[in-house]
Amino acid sequence: MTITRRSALAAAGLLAVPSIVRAQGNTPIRIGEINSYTAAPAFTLPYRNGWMLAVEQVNAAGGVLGRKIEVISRDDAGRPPDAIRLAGELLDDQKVDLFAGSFLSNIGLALSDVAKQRRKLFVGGEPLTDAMVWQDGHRYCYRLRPSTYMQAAMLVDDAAKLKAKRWVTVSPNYEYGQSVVKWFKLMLAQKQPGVEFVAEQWPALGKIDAGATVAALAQAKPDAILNATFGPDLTNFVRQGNTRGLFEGRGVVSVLTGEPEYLDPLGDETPQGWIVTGYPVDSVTDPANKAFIEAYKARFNELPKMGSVVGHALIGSIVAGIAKAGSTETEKMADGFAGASFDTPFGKAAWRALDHQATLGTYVGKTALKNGKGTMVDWRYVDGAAALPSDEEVRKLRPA
Amino acid sequence: MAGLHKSFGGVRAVEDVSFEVAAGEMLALIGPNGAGKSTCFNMLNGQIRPDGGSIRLAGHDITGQKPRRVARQGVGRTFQITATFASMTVRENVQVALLAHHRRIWRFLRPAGGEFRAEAEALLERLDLLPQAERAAGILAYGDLKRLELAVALAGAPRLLLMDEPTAGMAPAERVALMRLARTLATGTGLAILFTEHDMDVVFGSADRILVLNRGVLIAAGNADTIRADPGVREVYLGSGVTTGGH
Amino acid sequence: MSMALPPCRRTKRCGSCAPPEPVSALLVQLLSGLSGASSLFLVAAGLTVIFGVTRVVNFSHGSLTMLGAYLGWSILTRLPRGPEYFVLGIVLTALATAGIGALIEMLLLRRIYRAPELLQLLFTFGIVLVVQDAAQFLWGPNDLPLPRAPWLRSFVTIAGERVPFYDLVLIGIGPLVLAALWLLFTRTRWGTLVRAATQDREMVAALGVDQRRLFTTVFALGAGLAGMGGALALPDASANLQIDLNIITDAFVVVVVGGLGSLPGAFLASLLIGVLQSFGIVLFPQATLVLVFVIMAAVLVVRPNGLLGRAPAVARGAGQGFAAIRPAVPLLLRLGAAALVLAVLAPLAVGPFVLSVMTEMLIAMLFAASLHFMMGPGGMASFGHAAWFGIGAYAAAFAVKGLALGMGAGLLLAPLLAGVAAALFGWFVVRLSGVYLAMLTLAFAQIVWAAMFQAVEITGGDNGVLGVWPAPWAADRRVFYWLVLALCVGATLLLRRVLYAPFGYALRASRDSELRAEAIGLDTTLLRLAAFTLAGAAAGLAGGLAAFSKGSVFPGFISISRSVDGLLMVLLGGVQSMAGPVVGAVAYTGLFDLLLLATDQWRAMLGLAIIVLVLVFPQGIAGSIHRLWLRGREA
Repeated sequence: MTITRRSALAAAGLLAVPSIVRAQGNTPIRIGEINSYTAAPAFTLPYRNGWMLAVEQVNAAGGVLGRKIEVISRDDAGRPPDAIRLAGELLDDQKVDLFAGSFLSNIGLALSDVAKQRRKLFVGGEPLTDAMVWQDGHRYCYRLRPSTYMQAAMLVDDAAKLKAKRWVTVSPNYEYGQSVVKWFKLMLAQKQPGVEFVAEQWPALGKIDAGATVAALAQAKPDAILNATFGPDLTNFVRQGNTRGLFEGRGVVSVLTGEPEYLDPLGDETPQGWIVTGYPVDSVTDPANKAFIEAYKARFNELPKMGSVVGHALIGSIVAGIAKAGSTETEKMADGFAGASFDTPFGKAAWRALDHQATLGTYVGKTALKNGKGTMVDWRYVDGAAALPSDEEVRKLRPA
Repeated sequence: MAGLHKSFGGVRAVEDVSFEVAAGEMLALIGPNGAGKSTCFNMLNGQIRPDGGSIRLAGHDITGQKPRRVARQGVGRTFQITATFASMTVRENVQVALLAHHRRIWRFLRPAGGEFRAEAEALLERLDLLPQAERAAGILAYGDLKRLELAVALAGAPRLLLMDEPTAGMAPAERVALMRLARTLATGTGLAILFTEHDMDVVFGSADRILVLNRGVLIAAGNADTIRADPGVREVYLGSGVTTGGH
Repeated sequence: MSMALPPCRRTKRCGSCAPPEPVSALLVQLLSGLSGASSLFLVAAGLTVIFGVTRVVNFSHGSLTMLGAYLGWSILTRLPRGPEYFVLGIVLTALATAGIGALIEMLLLRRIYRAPELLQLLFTFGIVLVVQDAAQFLWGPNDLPLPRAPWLRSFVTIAGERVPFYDLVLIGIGPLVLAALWLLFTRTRWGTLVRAATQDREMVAALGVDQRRLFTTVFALGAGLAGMGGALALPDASANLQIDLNIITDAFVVVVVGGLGSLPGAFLASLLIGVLQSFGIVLFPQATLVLVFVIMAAVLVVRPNGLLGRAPAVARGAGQGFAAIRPAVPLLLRLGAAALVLAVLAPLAVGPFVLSVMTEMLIAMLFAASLHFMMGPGGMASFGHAAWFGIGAYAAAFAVKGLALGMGAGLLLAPLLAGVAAALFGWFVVRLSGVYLAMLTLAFAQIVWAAMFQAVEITGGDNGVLGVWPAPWAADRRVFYWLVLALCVGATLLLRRVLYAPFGYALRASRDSELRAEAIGLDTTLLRLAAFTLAGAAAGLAGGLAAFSKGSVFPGFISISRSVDGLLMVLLGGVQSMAGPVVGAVAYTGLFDLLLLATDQWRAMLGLAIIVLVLVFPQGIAGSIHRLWLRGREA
């Protein structure tokens, strides 16, 4: 039954093809988009708002290359095989010009592999793993967010200033968490010779047993802690840590914790003085950011989160890439995106030709408690370009 | 066919019971509810391991062997609550038993529908089940089910057949026919039959010899007349509210 | 950069740097484990009581826990923050979830008590999906942590270590609830009835007890306990949309380890699992997920009915529920042949995406058929069939990427390795029956999953193995489709043929009546093991094909949800007929695809579809159509 209906639809589609002159200028540019909407709603729903706003803004300004843009969005439910199949659907059935999105690192890598195999352009938004642009990087894959390497690099200076000798780490047990811990250990050891990592905890994503984890970390008697958990795991970890006094008298460096989607749930238990990356949405001052926040508030009646910024910037970066390529042909885009610069809520950023990583940065600061709510203070914006290794090192990491 | 002997040191269910059954003999095991008849049966075909004593079949010790080993050495049985293959047809029930008997189970590709078809139908014919051959066993009437079970047990060409209340739930005419068939089998093929039964007409009408079991102990043994006259048996049956010779 | 430090992943192995473990640290881990055990016990207690009386394997129990967490959040955030209001809030939550449980029982479950056990499971899974979307609709997608009152943050110092006060509260609640339930079950008439019903349902019916009310109240009690467990976990966690599936797996493990229907068993098992889990985190920080399954597997291998469980009164598949498996009617054969011809010709007419969906359907069909083989004729329901699928997929990927062999070798190795693995695990599995058997397969699947997840050097861990694309000659998607068509249809027909061969007869005989089968000399254990192995090998072939079709393999290939997908397909189609898994796979894959593309509420839609399908087709789609067809002919 299903097959026949599908076949019927497909047949109708085939018949309809000749009537569409595909090269004509006024059909919209079709951007396929895949993300883990049902699996990670806390991040992806603000993210969807972000790209919807961007699409509206771009189209209101006349689109790109004289054509409007259109996003065809899909939910991969957090499952790589589903993401791969949906990518096929978007490319083959929906005839998208390029595809984008993704949240989890493993799905990002899987979609990148599809792009490589199919020779179609994939622009990753949130997946943070370095492998996407380095070890497994290739011509058809671009990635927007600062990677695990960059996040670690942004935090390591402040971490070294703690002058802590004994460190422990707690990190979700998958690509992102492993990558963060790996880079952080390497960089800190370079900055501060003699540093020791005395224990590691690897809770499964979304399934932390916080009491036992905190007790196990405390047992190692560390001077400082690196945390890469986020979302519900983070909330549980913080609560148990507070009650059991894990953070007292210890420095904590924490990746992503300053992002509103992860900071807000901590409420009045937000620990103070953690060194974090994030988005101080309530205190940023630069005009681009303010304008974005106002537009977002007007459209969705709430403050944007980090996901909103990623969604918005993702569309901006794609539009700029297409504009620079002057075409939506894959090969031209694969070349043309490189070097394209674009505006984001965080300011100007660009696609690096070297490794297809964007130079979008993020904020580094400290957590604080204001009116019973968590916030970021003493923050500064770190440009992505400043947190990347030398070109030579990147070339060594990335296959030619 | 040699004798069968068993004895138990167990506590309650069956205590120190010894008997034998000869080829071609129909031996009835009777007694009030809870006397230990089914326990005896279950030990004989290996479902329960006896605590003590031994079971010998034609000279071989089969004590404590698993039911399928006991079955392969020629012991067939029917159950008090019939056990057949409900999802299969009557014919298939018998066919699978024949396949098992002839060790033809481990074949993966040849369709089984034609295997031992004639043999199966011959057996069904004998038990008056041929008209029902293509019906699912799960929807048979109880009496038919009892006979199907017998057919399945006979498919294994047993030397000893254990029948646990073979005629329960049958109409009187059916009972007579079934026991007559059993008698034919016993005398015709030298099959030894051990059966339990509540219906005393059936017992006295068909058994060569009768064993009476009460509270796990064998209290009497002999032919119909001996048992009828036995005061101990009368007491047991009267005491439990059942008269011999009727129900 | 080649400056990677050797990973230091285990605290204990960190030789020089790890401090010696003081007694007080052990105590802290023990207390932490005990408090975890208490929360787990509340949920498991409800599950085991419900199972004991209604015999429903209630997947939606976790959803009630999740609702308890959300309702508890809504209630507690509106109350003042003192301890007395906390107690009040918990009680109110328990009452509310008990009410919801009673409603679910009266409106839905009551209609399916007579359906086959597995269909009930499918049905409750439908409820899980609906509740998930309902909760998201009502409370939003974000986690809702309960702001903790100061007393909830306080701690007690024991042997120089801080122990959260609330942990001690939880540790006390477990035994208290056990005692209360024990009093309820032993000192009240209602409790006596519940115990009687747990032992023998028919007897209670014969006593003239109002069974409907008994079932409703028992369900309400179980739901209340689940809700209470969910709400009590709030101070340590948050209300979130993952609670349901997280807790249900753990609760099932506890119930099965303890022995189905046994309350003290559930208590003992939750203590065992809670404490071992807590120490396991220190000893094997990366193996946290799999530890409970290792414990379950170990317990079930030694004690097939759990710690305090008794052998089920009714032996495996006592036969009644199964209609005779008939060779297909001619019309069906003709339909099948027509579908096959269409499938062969399809690539000439349809586009690449439709083709890829059809490829997936074919793979799903073989996967479902292999599961059906052991579930239907074999009488062994599996919650972990994805294990063999995944092993096949990894074997294929390993052949191509690791051994640099071709696709052909990969497709040979896939069923081979999966079959060998199934035979090894099957050795333990086939001795069990019913839910225990199903849970042991789940445990093995989780262990395989963990192995694939952890063996990062070989399997790439969570990133999977990428670039497993078909050989050049099959790179054309039409050629690959035809290859998949040939192998999947061929293997499915082969399974069907085996079913009608002597082996298949003997297998069905063993399922219908183990007693009878043994009495005619069949080795039922060996027969089941062979069926298990064959099913594993077939699933492995499906997995191998999936690897090449996706161009990649992920640990998700072995996930619980893939096993559940397989179950859904078989149950949707119907267990009784060979056409069932085929119809089920096509319907499910299609349904899923359409929903995934068409709506954000795909879970609720899928759940509703399942609920309606079970209510309308209690024998599965193919089974019901077959039945209607027979009825039409007899009329």
